[in-house]
Amino acid sequence: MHTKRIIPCLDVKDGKVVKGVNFVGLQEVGDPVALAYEYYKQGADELVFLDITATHEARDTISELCERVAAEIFIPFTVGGGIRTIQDIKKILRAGADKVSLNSAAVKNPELIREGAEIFGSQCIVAAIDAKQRDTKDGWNVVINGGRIDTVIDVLDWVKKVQELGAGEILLTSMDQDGRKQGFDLALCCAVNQIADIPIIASGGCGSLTHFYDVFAQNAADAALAASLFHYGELSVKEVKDYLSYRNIPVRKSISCFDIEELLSKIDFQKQNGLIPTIVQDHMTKEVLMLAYTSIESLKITCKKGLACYYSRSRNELWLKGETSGHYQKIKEIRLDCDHDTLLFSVIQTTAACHTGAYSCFYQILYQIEE
Amino acid sequence: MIGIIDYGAGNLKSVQNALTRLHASHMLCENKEDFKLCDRLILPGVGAFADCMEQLRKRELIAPIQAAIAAKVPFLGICLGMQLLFESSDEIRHCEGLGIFKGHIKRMEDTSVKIPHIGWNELVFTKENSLFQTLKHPYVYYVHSYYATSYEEHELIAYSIYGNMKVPGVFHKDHVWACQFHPEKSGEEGLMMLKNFLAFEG
Repeated sequence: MHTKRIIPCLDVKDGKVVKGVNFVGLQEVGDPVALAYEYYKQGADELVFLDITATHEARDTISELCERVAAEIFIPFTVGGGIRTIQDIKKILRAGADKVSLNSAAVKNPELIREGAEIFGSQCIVAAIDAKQRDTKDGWNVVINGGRIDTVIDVLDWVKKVQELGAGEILLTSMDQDGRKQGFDLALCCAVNQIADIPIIASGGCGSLTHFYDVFAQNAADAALAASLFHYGELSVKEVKDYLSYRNIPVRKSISCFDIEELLSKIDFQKQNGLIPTIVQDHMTKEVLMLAYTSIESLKITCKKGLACYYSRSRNELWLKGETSGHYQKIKEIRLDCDHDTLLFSVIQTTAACHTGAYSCFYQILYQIEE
Repeated sequence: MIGIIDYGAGNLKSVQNALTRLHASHMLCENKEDFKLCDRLILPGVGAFADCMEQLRKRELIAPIQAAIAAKVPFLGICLGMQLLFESSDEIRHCEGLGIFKGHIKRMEDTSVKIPHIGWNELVFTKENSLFQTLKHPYVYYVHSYYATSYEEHELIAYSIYGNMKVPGVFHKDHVWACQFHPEKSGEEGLMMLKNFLAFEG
């Protein structure tokens, strides 16, 4: 079954991720590669990086970013923003991006789409269209330069034009909805999708699970893009996909291709006689819950069951935490420290971690410095 | 050493990155001398069929590819690299291919869906195969407007459904595999297929 795509978008300025509301009031959010990798793990189908770096000198940062992303992330990614020439396109694709999105520059010079498609193939040319409803409410105009200039070109005319020129996909952003979290502009997306022969990526305004559902259920787009929703952790890509799947929208379920031997090979079990100190942390609050020891066997069980299993040094046996108490620890993430000899389990704790009934084993204060 | 056949077209970087991630040493194969250094070959490809055949011819890469396949060097074609392994294609103009697999490359036609077929599709296995080890129902990333037709049914080992079409996903014959989708862009499942290809012992 062909699936609908979920695409997190990262706005990048001088190598850092930012996201604005209606493109005004930019706020720094984080490292693009770390964030991209997080989305990859969550099951994102693609990523879009929009470079909003103003100065030309700083634009080499985007090529470096592409190289870092391409080395770590094995899904397609698109780079847009400030791409004006065939040379710009070449540079971005050479750095490892799969597609470029062309916006203002394509409006000013439509031949850029044609040439780009001829040289690099339609599959890597995404026409980014920023649409704003006309005051007369009888349609939408193409706006450029971050919405500051109304080109007076009708969006539907421009969609037909970019298709003819050879664009492979359309990234359609509603400037009326962008940043408002009130949902995608369904009227706009439906109107465009009806006349488009190439895939439409809906963008601007997504604020909840139902917004994703609506845009697909109404057959208004092939893919949906969102930014701040994901950046601030309001929703994960996985949550969106689980929800869509539950409501019968076909999505790619990312089955993690997990190799236990590869995981074990990264850990230095020799250094500490086969037992690895394991710090256990609450996944949500980050509170430290306890310290235990992991052996090769216990880690295999942990990964197989998705529940924390340790090696009990006092009883000399495997210890599936919660087996007798019911206080299981559901594994969300396992991390390894820099010198490969300590583990960090990030868990969802049932009831309490400590045998005393305290949530954390570290409830005793031995020493404290008053401010 | 894995050789990535470089005929001047397409994005080789993503295949290189994927092999690096799998800790496999790799190099670009630009001439027949390079082929001698490689015990496994990948033919990637983005672009138009006829142009790519022309490039392979100009760079004198056709004979080394055929020789390597005859010598049972494990071989993987990806996307256009898959299509080039067939007998012929209609893309832009009729053009002969490498003829490793029987079949013809034609434009996809189905008014119920958009062409090109872009995005993630579920891969349905028709046969067990070493390429699919540890995989169950992977989703893979496709970007194409042309597909294989008139092929040998027994050489098809996986497909996807798009509209009313059965899109051939993977072909296999002896030590040659050919994927229409991009394993190097299909997440961890795609990397697993590459890993399985690298692990194949002839």
